[in-house]
Order: sequence, then structure tokens, then C-alpha cells
Amino acid sequence: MKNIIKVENLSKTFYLHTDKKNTARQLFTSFFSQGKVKKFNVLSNVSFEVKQGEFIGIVGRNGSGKSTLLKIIADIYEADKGSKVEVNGKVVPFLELGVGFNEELTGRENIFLNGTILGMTKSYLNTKFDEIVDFAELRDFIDEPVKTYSSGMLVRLAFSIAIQSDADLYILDEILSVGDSGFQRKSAHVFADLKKQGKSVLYVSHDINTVKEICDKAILIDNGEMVAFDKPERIGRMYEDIILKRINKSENDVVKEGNVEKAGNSIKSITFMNTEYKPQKVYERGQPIHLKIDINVEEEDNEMYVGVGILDFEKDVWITAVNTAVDEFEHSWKKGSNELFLSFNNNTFNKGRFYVVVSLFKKEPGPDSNYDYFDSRETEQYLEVFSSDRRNGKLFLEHEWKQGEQQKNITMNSLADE
Amino acid sequence: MTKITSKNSIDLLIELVKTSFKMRYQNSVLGFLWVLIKPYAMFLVMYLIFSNIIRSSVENYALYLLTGVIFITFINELLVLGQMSLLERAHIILKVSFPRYIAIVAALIGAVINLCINLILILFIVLMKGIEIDLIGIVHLILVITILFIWGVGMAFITSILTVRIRDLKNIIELGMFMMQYGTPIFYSLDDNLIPNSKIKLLIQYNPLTIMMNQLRAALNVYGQRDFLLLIIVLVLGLLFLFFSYMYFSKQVKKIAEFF
Repeated sequence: MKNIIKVENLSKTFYLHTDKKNTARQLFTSFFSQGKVKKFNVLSNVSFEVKQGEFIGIVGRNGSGKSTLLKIIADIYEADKGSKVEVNGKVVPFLELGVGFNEELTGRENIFLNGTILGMTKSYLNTKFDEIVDFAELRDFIDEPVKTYSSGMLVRLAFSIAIQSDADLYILDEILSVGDSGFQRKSAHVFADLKKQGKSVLYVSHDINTVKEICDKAILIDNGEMVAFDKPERIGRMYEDIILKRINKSENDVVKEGNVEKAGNSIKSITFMNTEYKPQKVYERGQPIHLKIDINVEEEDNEMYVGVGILDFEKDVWITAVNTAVDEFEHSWKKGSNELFLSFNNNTFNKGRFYVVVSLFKKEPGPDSNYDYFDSRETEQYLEVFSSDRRNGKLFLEHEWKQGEQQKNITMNSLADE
Repeated sequence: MTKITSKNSIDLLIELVKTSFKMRYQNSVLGFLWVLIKPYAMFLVMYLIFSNIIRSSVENYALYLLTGVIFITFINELLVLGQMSLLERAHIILKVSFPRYIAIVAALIGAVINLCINLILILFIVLMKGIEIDLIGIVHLILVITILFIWGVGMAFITSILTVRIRDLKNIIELGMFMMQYGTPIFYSLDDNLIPNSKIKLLIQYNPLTIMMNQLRAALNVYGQRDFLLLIIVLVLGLLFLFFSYMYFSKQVKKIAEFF
């Protein structure tokens, strides 16, 4: 098998001018004072080879250098001197879907615009046009401006164009999870086909499960260095170790910095703990989650309550929110520092990361119960839940499946009860 | 590194030109008529003022002024569109590796299209005035435009890179263009002896823009003498300039994504 990518001693340094010179005045003054230049070694001495037909996963934390590596292979960034990067064949980077989409143009026009940007010719796009439109399921809307499309439609169109590019190497930056489940199934077929055709794929993710599922091998990158290049299962274990180590290093820095210390009643810190009340931030599903909240009380106030909300990683959705007012918990505040414990004994989170927000509020009298806040804090680091199974969604709910006779019996019984 | 066929480069060029042409006048009532309205409005104002003040001895002063305005509008577009071409496509450059020079050429072709629309109207006016247009004149005209385009691309190879690093180059070029409007005989003529200072007069006379503007006028039989040999020299110099500026560009452009 021939090599598609051969990388040897790849390093990349970014120079950040602490006083960024974007105007002539700054450039001029910096001729005289050298200015401070910060060097960032984003990647150092990375070496690996990818053979034709291999699916390679690249995993690492945010800021580990994954994206920079991809951009160098995609010929967007230039590697430092002394690095050797050899790519044989045509590369199509899906670093972002729909590059160059123009929202004023119609779907049809965007197919040609985006397609040519990705390196296809107009005549090739003409022959693939129907295939693209059908795959995107946009036959009725193709002559509408894409600004009228929903985000799902846009992503479908972009993906359908991108997969037509006949490349030898595809670089994918976490885009397998686009669209609804039906579209995801279709895209999974596409990737299976790519594999059959002997195409190579570089797949970047911090979701190790998908990497295990589709990749032959994986590269683990941490702090700009290649930690390992191995079977995805082993890389997965190493990756989890790295995350755990990092979390244990910084166990108590949960309170978001930059929050102005308010006089009066305030939240001092929030700590995630395990059953032994030791700090912990990564939980297996089912393992109880304990929260210790340190509160400073200047003014005793029996009408002060505490709320805890859990947000998803994108901070879009409240997974749950509980508070001591609704739960009718009776506080016994004392002047000075107070400790409050909250336990989620039935931890049914699915694999994922969550943010926790704690607030201190006073319950106003009156029917509409407006809350008057003393303080509100968000944990800086997320709470992480692992589970070995592959369940989708944020939460796992107790459930039961039934089919055919079983269901009929239940319906009959419940009817008989009435 | 990435193999992209030249057929694709041409298609990409066409798509980019088409898109920016469509986008430029999107959501405006008069649409692409603005290509005509702007220079003609400028012409009208200047004509009303200067035809009364200067009383130029130039025959066909109206056409003289109009060609001057169209010329300087074109130069202005070449410079501004060229220097902004990389910065404006930053979102694509950061995600896909396509031949970067296409972004520059596409922007400048946009300027040429605008010029051509204006020239078609001028040709009508010239014919209506009873001035004859000969085939050699048309060839001369095309040569003038080609030379300006080549110099424009050469300039853009340098300015587009520099603009990414030094953002206020845009203002510097705008200021330069403003001064150029007076440093080239758009609304006055050097024949009129309006400029007493002989040094300044010399400076204006040998301003390369003056030379090219007068060659454009000569091609349309509006003013001055055609000088074919001069054009060939400027063309050769332009090609040399293009070569060296491309060397600079291709070296610098590899790092450009880091500077956005």
C-alpha cells in the first residue's frame, strides 16, 4: 500500500506579538522597541504515516494541537522549517461544512460555488447535480436562496456537496454528527463506501466512541506532542487517563474567576465529590454525584435559598434545576461560612459533560415569586460522566420495551382494573 | 501539495466573479445600474463646475472629462478590490486550500467588467458625437486595459498580503488615490497652461497614470496621440513587475492564514 501521508518531525510555532501590529503606527513604533513576542509551540516533532485506505482518528483535548495538525496537512498553515509533510493525492478538508456558502444565492448556485471551492469542476458538478440534490433531500427548495433554509437543510446540502469531491484523503473535523438520525444513517453509509473504495480518512474528535467505531488506528495528541499512535481501544484508555489526570490536578478551582466579590452573602466555592466526600469530577453513570457548596453569610436571613442548575456542555439547555425554596428545605444559616451539601443519588446522566450553576436568592413574597439574587456562580470546569454503553441523549430514563402479546395483556389488565 | 486541475481553477474563478458581481448590488433597487450611475454622476457634477470655470481649449471637453472619470474610477477599483481580495475571502482561505491567486484575479476581473459596461456607453456617445472609431483604436483600447490589469494584479499581489498585516494600508491607498485625482489631468488639460509651476507640470506629465489615461483617450479618438511603442514598453515592464510581485506573493501567501 502506498503512503497517503508521511509526516516527519512536524513542528509548528506561532509567534504572538503581545502588542499585535495591525496598524502602521504600531508597526512603526515596534521598529524601535522590539516588542514582546510570545512563542507558542503548538506542535512539536510529530511523525506518522497513513497508508491508502486507512481510517485514522485523531483525539486530544481542546487546544492540544489537533486542528493545527489538520490545517497543516490540508495546506492551510505552513509547518516550521525542518518539518517534512508529504501528501500524495488530492485532499479535501471538511474543516467546516459549506465553506463559502453565500446566503443570498440559491441552493443551486451554492452547489457550484462551494463545489468549485472544494476543487470540483463545473462539468463534474453538472453530472453530479441530481445526486447532490437528492441526497440532501432538497429537491423542492433548490432554487430558493439558502437564507431561507433551516440550519439542518444547510448542513445537509453542504455535506452532500462535500462527499462528491473525489479525493484520496478526506479530513473530517467532527462532522459525522450532522443532521437528524435518518441523515446520519445515510452519511454512515457514505463513509462505509469510502472505506470500500480505498479512500483514506483523518477523523478528528474528542468523542472517543465514534473513533473506536470507525477508525483503524488513532493518534493521541496532548500539549502539541504525539503521545501514541495505536489501536483506537488503547488510545481511548490513554485519553481517559489524560482527562482524569488533568482534572485531579485542578480539583478545587471550580469557582469561576473574574466574578466580583460581592459584599454580603455569597458563594465561596463549589466542589464535586464522590461518596467518600473526596473531590472528584468524573463519574461513571449510576455513581452518585455529591456537591459541596461553601457559602459566606454576612447577614443572617432565613428567607435566603439556594438553587442548583445543570446545563449541557454547550450551555444551551437546562438539564435540570432544583432549589431549596421549592423543595421546602429549612436552612439554618449562621454568620460566617456555611457548608451546604446536595446529592444526586440517582445519577442517570449519559456520557457527556455538564456545567453546574449555583445561585443564592431571596424569595420575594407575592404570588408570582420573583427571585432577588444575592449571588450566582457557574463552575468553571465541567462535570464529566462516562459510561461504556452507547446511549444517545443527555439523560437515561428508566424504561421498559414491550411487543405484541405482552402489550395486549397489559392493556387488557388495565381495562379489567377499571 | 494539493493537486487541483487548471480546469477547476477557471471554474472557480468564474464562480467567484459571478458571486461578487451578484452580491455587489444585491438588495439595491437600481441593482447593477449603480456601476453606471456613480461615475456618470461624478462626471455631471464635474462637468457643470469645470466647463464653466476652466473653459478648456480641449475639443470634446465632455468626452475628455468622462473618459478621465471612468479611467480613474477603474484604477481606484483595481487598487481597492485588489488589496482587499485576500482579507475578504479570509473565511474560505482559513478552511480550504485553493490557489490563492484566484481570489485576487477574481476581484480584479470584477473591476474590468465594470469598466467594460462603462466603455460600451462611452462608445455610443463617441459615435453619436460623430467621432469615428477605427479597429486599431479598439485594439489599442484592449491593450491599454490589459496593461492596467496586469499592473493591477501585480500591485494586488503585494498590497493584498500587506493589508492583512497592516490594516491601515487601506486608508493609505485611499488617500493616495484622492491625491492622484488631482495629479492626473482628469478635468483639466496640460495644454491649457493652467499650471504655472513647471516642476509640478512635469510631474503630472510623466505621471504613469497620465500617460495611460491619455492613451485610453487616444484609443477612442477623444484626445492626444496614440503611442503603440510606449504601450509595448509599459506592457513588458508590467510583465516583469508581475513576475517579481508573484514571487513575493507565493512566498508570503503560505503564511497568510496565520495572520487573519
